[in-house]
Amino acid sequence: MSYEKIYKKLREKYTVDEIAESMMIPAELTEEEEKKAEKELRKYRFQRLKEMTEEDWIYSDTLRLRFQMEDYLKEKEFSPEKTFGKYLEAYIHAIRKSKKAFSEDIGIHYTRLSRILHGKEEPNLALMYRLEKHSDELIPAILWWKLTIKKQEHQIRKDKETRIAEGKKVKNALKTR
Amino acid sequence: MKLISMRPGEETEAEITEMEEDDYERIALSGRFAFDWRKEKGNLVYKIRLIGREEVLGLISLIDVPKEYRLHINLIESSVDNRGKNKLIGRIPGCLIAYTARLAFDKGYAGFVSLRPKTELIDHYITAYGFKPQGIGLAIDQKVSQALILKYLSR
Repeated sequence: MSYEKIYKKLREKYTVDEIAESMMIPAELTEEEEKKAEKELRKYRFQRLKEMTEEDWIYSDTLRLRFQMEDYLKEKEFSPEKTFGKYLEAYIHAIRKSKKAFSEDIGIHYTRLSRILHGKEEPNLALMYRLEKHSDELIPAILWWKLTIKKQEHQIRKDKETRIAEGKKVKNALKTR
Repeated sequence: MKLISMRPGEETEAEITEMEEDDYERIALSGRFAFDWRKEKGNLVYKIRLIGREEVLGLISLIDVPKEYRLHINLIESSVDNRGKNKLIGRIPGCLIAYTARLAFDKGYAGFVSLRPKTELIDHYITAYGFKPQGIGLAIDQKVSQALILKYLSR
């Protein structure tokens, strides 16, 4: 059955408003109308792309990054390719800044930024608040924080070596088993 | 994301996931959807369900147009229980449209989403979601798309 026939059948039971509120039924066009509509939409789309400023792209790419972070944080597994440092690097890329200029923007030394980007230093909360402010809250501090927690959780699960080494430094441990 | 139960004051948590091969047949046999969703198989099709429940509440079919940096909504449908005066749950199409807007950011399309509804339905998409008429189609992007994401997916 065509979209149109189904629509007519639905109209026997629902008002136009009720249909609009619960579904989106496409207009059924002739081949010629379809071509014309596609052409119009394409024209508009390219015009919108042409009108987009660098600021618009930064906004769009930053939001995109935020959604990628949210999606990753929903995943169960930790990925060494998706750490705080990697996402921070992606953020600097999204906002079209050099690392040097960005370190000045957020008031930290370039060397420290570099260490954080390479995972050699853990970021603190103060930095996360600064990142939130820098992105005009498009990426909230809590997302940056959750990235560090995800890494720490992975470390706690996997790092047997440090667990044993640190365990050796403990005296008078409880014996409950 | 939150869906609104039509019982006053009740909200319920939902999730949107991609359709799996088996879903198409199950949906066709359920008798809860008017359209034949098997015909949408070539598109990107997503379903909305309450978290932890199998029952599909709504469906959306999308066409990816990468050369034009846009996602096109081909069809949306709420299940039979969620239409009309006596519907059980609200916000289903809103959540599905907002999810599309999010995907359109994800794909690097600056949130650009288009659709071409039947003439009688056009006004609703303009007033309810902020779509702008473009020829015989409608479109949103950037700030309007972000506003939909905030309204429907962040609650």
